[in-house]
Amino acid sequence: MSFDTAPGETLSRYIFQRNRIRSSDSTVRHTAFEPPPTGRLSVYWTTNLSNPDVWHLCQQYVEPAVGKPAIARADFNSLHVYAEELAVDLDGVPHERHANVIGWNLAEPTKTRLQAIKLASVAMLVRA
Amino acid sequence: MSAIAIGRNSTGAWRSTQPGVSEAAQKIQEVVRGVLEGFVSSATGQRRLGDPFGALEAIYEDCAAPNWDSEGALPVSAAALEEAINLLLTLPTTVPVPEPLAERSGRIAFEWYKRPDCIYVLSTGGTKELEFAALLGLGYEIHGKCPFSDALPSIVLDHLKEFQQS
Repeated sequence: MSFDTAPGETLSRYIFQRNRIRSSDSTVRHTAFEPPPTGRLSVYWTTNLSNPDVWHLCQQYVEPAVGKPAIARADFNSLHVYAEELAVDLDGVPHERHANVIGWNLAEPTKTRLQAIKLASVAMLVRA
Repeated sequence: MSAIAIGRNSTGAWRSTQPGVSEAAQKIQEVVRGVLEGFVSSATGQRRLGDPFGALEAIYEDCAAPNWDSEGALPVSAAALEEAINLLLTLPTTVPVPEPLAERSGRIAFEWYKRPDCIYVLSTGGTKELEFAALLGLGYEIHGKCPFSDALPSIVLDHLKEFQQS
């Protein structure tokens, strides 16, 4: 498997809180893309995976850590990450397709919030 | 409007909890409390204040503990809640009612949303400083901070006008 093909890679961010999605038009809120204090926003590289396989990753590796089932996921392209001057770190833990969106400047919270808003604005919501 | 701490009393109505400093101040507070309770119990008041207050109360109940999202979120503080309430009270009625949200940083954000490229987020953390970030149409984006005490900062009012016109 090689990451970073020309058209970009599909990344998936699993969502567990209802208020991180808008029920009015089934879109994703910026709060789903806010980086944690570590500055590493957990995502999975899901290019070329079937929909059931993407949910299988969640059930096997994410839900046990969070302690509840995901209600949705936000799919987005890695090119949007690079457009925000962020990067994707494919760390392979706990699964070879696990990655983190990195490069956030946590000392600039308003810029970070805008980056999260912009990522959320291009994400596609997929309900569980 | 001056900053007035609001909470629910045993009947579920909203009440002011800030003590007055004199008999006159207490009288004014009673009048303001009556006006607020009357307003909140009206249909318009319920939509403009009652529903958002209820949402804020739920946020505080759900997010007051550390790691409330199981991904390292910071707790929402009582100071953030109080400032969010005060901010809500300063919004003019010409501005649409925002959606309150808990942020991972422990702040409370108010979101105004029309479509994915037209969104305004105003965030409060109980530090007398508001943070804003917005997309107001194709290629028009802003972010920054401004001080906040009792009145809605004019820069925020300008942003909200732009949002409504976008």
